[in-house]
Amino acid sequence: MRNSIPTAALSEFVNEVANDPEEGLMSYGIEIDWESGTRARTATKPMLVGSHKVSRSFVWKADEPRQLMGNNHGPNPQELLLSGLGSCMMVAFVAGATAEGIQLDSVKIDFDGSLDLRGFMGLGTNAPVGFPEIRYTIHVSGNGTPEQFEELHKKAVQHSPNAQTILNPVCLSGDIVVSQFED
Amino acid sequence: MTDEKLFGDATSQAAKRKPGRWINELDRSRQAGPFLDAHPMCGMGMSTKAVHAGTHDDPRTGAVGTPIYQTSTFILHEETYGSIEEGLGRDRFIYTRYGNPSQWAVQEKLATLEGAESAIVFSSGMAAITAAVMAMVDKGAHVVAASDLYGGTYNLFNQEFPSMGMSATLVDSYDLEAIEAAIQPNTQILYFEVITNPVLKVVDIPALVKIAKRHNLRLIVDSTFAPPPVMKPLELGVDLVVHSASKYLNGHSDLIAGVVCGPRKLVDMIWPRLLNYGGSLDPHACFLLERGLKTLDIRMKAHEASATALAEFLETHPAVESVLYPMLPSHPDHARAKRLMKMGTGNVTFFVKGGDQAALALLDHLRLPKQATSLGGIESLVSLPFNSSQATMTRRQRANIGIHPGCVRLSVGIEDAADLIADFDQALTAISTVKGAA
Amino acid sequence: MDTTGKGFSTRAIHHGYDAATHQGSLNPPIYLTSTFTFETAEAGGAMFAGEQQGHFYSRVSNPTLDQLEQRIANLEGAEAGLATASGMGAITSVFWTLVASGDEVIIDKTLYGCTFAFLTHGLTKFGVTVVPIDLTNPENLSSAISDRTKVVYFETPANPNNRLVDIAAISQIARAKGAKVVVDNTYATPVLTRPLEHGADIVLHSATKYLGGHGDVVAGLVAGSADDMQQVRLIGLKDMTGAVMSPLTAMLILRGMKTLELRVERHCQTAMRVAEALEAHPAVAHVHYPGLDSFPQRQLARRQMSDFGGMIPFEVVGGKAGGIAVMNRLKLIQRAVSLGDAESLIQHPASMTHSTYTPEERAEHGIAEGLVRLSVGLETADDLIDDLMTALSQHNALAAE
Repeated sequence: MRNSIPTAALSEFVNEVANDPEEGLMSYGIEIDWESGTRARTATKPMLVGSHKVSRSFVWKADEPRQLMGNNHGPNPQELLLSGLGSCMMVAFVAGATAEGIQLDSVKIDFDGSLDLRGFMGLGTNAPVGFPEIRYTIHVSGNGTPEQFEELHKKAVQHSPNAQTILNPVCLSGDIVVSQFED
Repeated sequence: MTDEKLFGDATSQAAKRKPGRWINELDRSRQAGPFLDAHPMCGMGMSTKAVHAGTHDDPRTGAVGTPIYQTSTFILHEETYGSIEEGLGRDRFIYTRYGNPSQWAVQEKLATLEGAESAIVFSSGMAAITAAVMAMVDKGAHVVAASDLYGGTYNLFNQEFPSMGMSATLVDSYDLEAIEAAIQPNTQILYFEVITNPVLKVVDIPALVKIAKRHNLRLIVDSTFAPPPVMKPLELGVDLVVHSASKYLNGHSDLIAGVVCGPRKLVDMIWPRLLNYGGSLDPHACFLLERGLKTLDIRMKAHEASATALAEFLETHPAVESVLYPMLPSHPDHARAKRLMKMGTGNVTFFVKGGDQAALALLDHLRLPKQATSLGGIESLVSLPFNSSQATMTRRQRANIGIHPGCVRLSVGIEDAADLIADFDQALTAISTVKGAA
Repeated sequence: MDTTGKGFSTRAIHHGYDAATHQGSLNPPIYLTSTFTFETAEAGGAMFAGEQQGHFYSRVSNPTLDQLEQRIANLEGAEAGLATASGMGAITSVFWTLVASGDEVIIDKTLYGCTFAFLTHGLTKFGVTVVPIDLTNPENLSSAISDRTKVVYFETPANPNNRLVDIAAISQIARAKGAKVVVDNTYATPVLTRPLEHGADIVLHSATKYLGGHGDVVAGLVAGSADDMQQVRLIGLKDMTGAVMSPLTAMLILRGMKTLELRVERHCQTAMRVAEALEAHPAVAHVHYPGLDSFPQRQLARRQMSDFGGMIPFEVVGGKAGGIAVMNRLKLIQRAVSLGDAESLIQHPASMTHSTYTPEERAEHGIAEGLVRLSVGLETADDLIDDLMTALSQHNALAAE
């Protein structure tokens, strides 16, 4: 076990997927229920790893601060977006380090992003609705050289599904099902 | 003779590292094992496999048969330290709870007999079942299992599962529609016994395999009542096979052990459960189990021969109401048994006229079979479900699962059929006479 | 592992085993096999012809037994060792190898009953002359030994009365006549006495006793020169007695011997206290313990033994009836033959271990009818003393009436 990742099992999985691509297909899902105001509750749906179902019994809540009409009961959607991005880059970074034989002592990724709510509010300016820029810094200590870590950083971004989802256009296809509210 | 240094599975190597490359270049792929020295047994018969597979003839001394590595721990060296670091600890010897050459030898034999890539032996059948089930479920999981499971397994699902935030729905193993209807979004595994106890239902494993595939589930079966000469569930598409090895596999009623067999990928997931739950099998018990397995095939033939003769005799006896033996045409699952079972076993269940009192009297008159639970040993064992395995149930609950009054559960050993028949004849005659007098 | 110059326990734990050649297994594997494969037919033939080393059949040799044999040889300071199925198997395998019809054997008067029976009733049937003499006085040997004497055989301390024999003095006399000295070292164990260092040729053991130490096996061990051991293996053991040890037994003895030194130390400490307590008790007539000042051969004991063992033969007031009565009143100490176990055991030699002697022979050989033999176990000394004192005080009261 290096960095608490069994290299042998990682290698076996990579080779299994190379031979049987279906084993590399992951299906995820979540359900979000509006609770009150800006607060919503997310629950994970069972996940498919290859053709096998995995129970994912996790629940969390998102909310906005009071200043944004919420009650500050949880991280807000932007923080969750940064968390999803950063956690994914973290997995890629640690897996890559393990494959290279680099022993990590600590890794911290510091994220910052600013956005202009005039976009959300539709105040007719040129301000983009989303983040125009996401800044991050990886603080790492381990037995790799600075050059190795820089190379690893690039590979982690190249292979991070969430980073690549943000960097590239993604097809967001949605439907809406309406039930009539009867007073 | 050689004094060369020997360390674990010599074919297992760490993934080679390439600085600056990505994980796609890791070159270690999964292989069967771990084995001391893999025995090529392809195309060999069941008896040959039973005798030779896995047996570690010590290369150092030429000693025939696996030495008993009665040790708790192993000297660490570069290779073992490396194996821990690289995550291939299962392929080297570190500590006997993790793995021991005596365990590996019998594991390879069991894997070969079941047609599996890998196997792990445990200190009991329940240790094997618990580790296998817990490796295949996650937080919040749900299991669909048979309603007439062995009591220990039933308790795992009924008592332990809810405490750990998981749940199980127990369904009649004949009722494929109900099984499918019981599947929930969080269902992860189906768990069934291939032949049930004590009414010897032969479960439609291929149909369960189809249901599991359709719903992306894993199917685990307990094949204790159908050891490899009878059925190889992995060949039918089952994901994992568990056994109480205390029964037919060991066959001599002199130890407690369990085993899980399956693809290396899944058995590797079970291995950490072995480490955490601690149900490892003692090297000396491994030796006895390996020794017992060498005669598995010939023992099963003897069990079948004596059980068939006795079942046929019982069926014709006027003091017997009915007999349940899957290889007899009278068994409700006879057609399925002929399709799925390569041979019969020693398990015979029958019902004597006169109910449980007559059954009790019968046991008093039997001289050869010993009154004891368990099964699959070379000695015949007899017990009554109403006062032993299903004693906690009411009469009606017992009737619901086919245990009607007068039910006698018999594990026919390898004694001469003529002796068993003579003994049952005199005992049945004795209870008929008493009844006639009363 | 090279254990040259290492202490007794270190050698008892490590000698002669290399884990790296056994999958790293800390403990030697148990080779429960009857036979061994040959790489080629020629190699098998060469082994049978004695031209090539190696195991070929477990009645002749086995890797687990080999491990045990190396260890007992090391602890006894011998070149080689040999494992047998029982102590009697060791004794008979040695004698069948060393003597032939027409030879003479000189034995000490006090021997374990079955040894005495084998020699005086068994061996004599085959034309071997067996001469029992009192070897506590080496001069007796000088006058008895002849050119026909092939073996001088004794126990020290002797079963059941703890009589000692001066190994060095006896060996000197025997060697001069070309006779081999064979010593049964079961009582002393190599922890307390190593007979080969005093000039003996062969040492043997009932390993059932202190070497195994847990009362769970029956076993024998022999140690001596490589040549002698090879002869005993190929003649006495292979062709005559067939008294082969099981590899599982070998493993248990190896396991037992790891704690031999610390067990024997504890046996000795407790036995000394028990012997003193017994000696001080008015209901006890005599205590034969080499550590006591009252022991006639205490000088020899101090010279030949590093401590005085765990065996205490004693006689209570009232002779045989008195001894039996005390035995029957014991609650902790078990009434059983054998010795050297963790459990304290007591027995009555005249009716049990030495019933193979006639009463006349026992009288002549110094085995009193009232003697009881206590094997002091590893229990807490105070508990053993309490048990004995309670039984004796009742005896005292009865005797007073």
